[in-house]
Amino acid sequence: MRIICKDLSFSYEPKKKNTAYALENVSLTIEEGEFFGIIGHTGSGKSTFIQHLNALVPLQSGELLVGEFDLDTKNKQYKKNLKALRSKVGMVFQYPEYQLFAESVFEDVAFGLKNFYPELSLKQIEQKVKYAIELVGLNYYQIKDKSPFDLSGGQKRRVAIAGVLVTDPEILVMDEPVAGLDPVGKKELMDLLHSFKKGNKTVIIVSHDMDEVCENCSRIAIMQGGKVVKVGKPSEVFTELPDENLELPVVARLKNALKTKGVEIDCKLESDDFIEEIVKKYKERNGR
Amino acid sequence: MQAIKIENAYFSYEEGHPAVNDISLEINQGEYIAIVGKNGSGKSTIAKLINGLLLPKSGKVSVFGLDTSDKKQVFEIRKNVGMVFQNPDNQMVATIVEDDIVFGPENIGVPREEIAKRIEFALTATNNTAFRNRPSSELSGGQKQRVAIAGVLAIRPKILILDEATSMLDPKGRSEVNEVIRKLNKEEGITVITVTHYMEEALFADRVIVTNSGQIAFSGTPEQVFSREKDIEACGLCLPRAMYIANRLKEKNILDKNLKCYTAQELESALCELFVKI
Repeated sequence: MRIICKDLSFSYEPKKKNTAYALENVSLTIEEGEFFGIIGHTGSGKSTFIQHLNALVPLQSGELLVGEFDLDTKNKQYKKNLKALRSKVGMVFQYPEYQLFAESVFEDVAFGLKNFYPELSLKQIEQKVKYAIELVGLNYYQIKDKSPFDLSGGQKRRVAIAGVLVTDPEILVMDEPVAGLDPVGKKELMDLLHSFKKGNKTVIIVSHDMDEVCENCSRIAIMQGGKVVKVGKPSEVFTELPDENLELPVVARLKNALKTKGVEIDCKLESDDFIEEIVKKYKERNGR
Repeated sequence: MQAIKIENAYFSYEEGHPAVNDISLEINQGEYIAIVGKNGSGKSTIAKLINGLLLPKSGKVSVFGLDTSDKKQVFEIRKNVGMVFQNPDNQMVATIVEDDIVFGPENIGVPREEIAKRIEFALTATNNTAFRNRPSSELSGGQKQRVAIAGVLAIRPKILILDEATSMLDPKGRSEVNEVIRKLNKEEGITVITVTHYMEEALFADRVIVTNSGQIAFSGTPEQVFSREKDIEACGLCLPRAMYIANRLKEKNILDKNLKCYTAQELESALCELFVKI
């Protein structure tokens, strides 16, 4: 599902005179199958933007198409489509493990599914829940009857994600997916997102971790004051510090500094790629 | 002066699964300690044992000689040990910044004039004076977290524990909070214990403690700890990114093996210097 957003503006107090806009003329297209990153400091409009994608915030002005769904509230099909839209656009908020509530992992994961598809038989539900739990790398039989509150932090987060993946969304939106996870947990979660994406599905992450974003996303949008100020590949976006509230990814910082000394390092913004290029450049310069 | 002494402490949330397993640790007044370790390694549990939020099931934890298991001392201990948690929104009790800071000292019955002084101190020490009359809901994450620290400071603790206090903040918020913590440690002599996932933050500490499976795997100055790359990885952690890159370049004889290179800043200078020469 492709996302096309044109001149999207949004205010939390639309009737107020001289109101502040949380989003201002945001235009952005996210292609099917992209691993897309959105960065920006607190209050830059990231959350407001992603909440538009499954109509948690209604469209005020501008256009927003998510796959075949037109999110214009004046559209006759709008209300009727909401449920289908939300089952296709999975949204995982920050620290989703705090949203677990059911008595067992099975019930927690099945909750959304039952709401979206009340007609499903118990057998079908079981099948889908099992699929989702295994997709997030957990053992279905070992975990399904446990209380979600007895799990470790990393497991809880996976269960919460399974509860979103269970409706088989086409687009997965995650707000700060790796905040609070250790390096191994981060890597596992990112691997999970990459494997989800393989079926030509779209992953959109919002993150404060510039290095994380660079290493995983094919394209990035930087938001500032409700506007998208830059969009592109990580190496295109981080040619300079985009915003004083953010920091450059380490590799971008090194690349940019070397550039001022006349040394062009052409690499992705990933540690290992950078190291390889430095070695090459060093040998080249040393005439070896 | 010794601030904290943990002797063979054991704690489990669930029978047979120790979260902290026979840990012993001594921390001196004025030290800056970073505790790092993977999820579930026991680092937050250690933090909670220190201010008596959790009590060891065996062993002993004492703060300035006071046993945390002694019920009569809990109040005294908590006055000395302030704690700041991950989510700033969960720590705000009042709508206006100043009211939020007053809450703690009022609760422990600090006289009025003294409270006024403490507010000034807490606001200044956390670079918050400009926000004193602002609704806390209007603040950014980093600002809120600084208010949370101010609220704790108004109790005048000798020890400040931060349990992943920067993990929900953006880079600017994170550096604001870190700056305040360093200042409190240096200028006010407050003992700082920070539990963190950001290896870069551990570089500021006097001593880094690495936890693994409920035990202290190893500890030392940031230099000592981060020179053990294999051990760090074995504990499920990784080096600060700049250091990782520097180490690989050292292995390839591009950077001098003895070069000190922990931060992005240091690596940047080293690389620029190198390429200007050749």
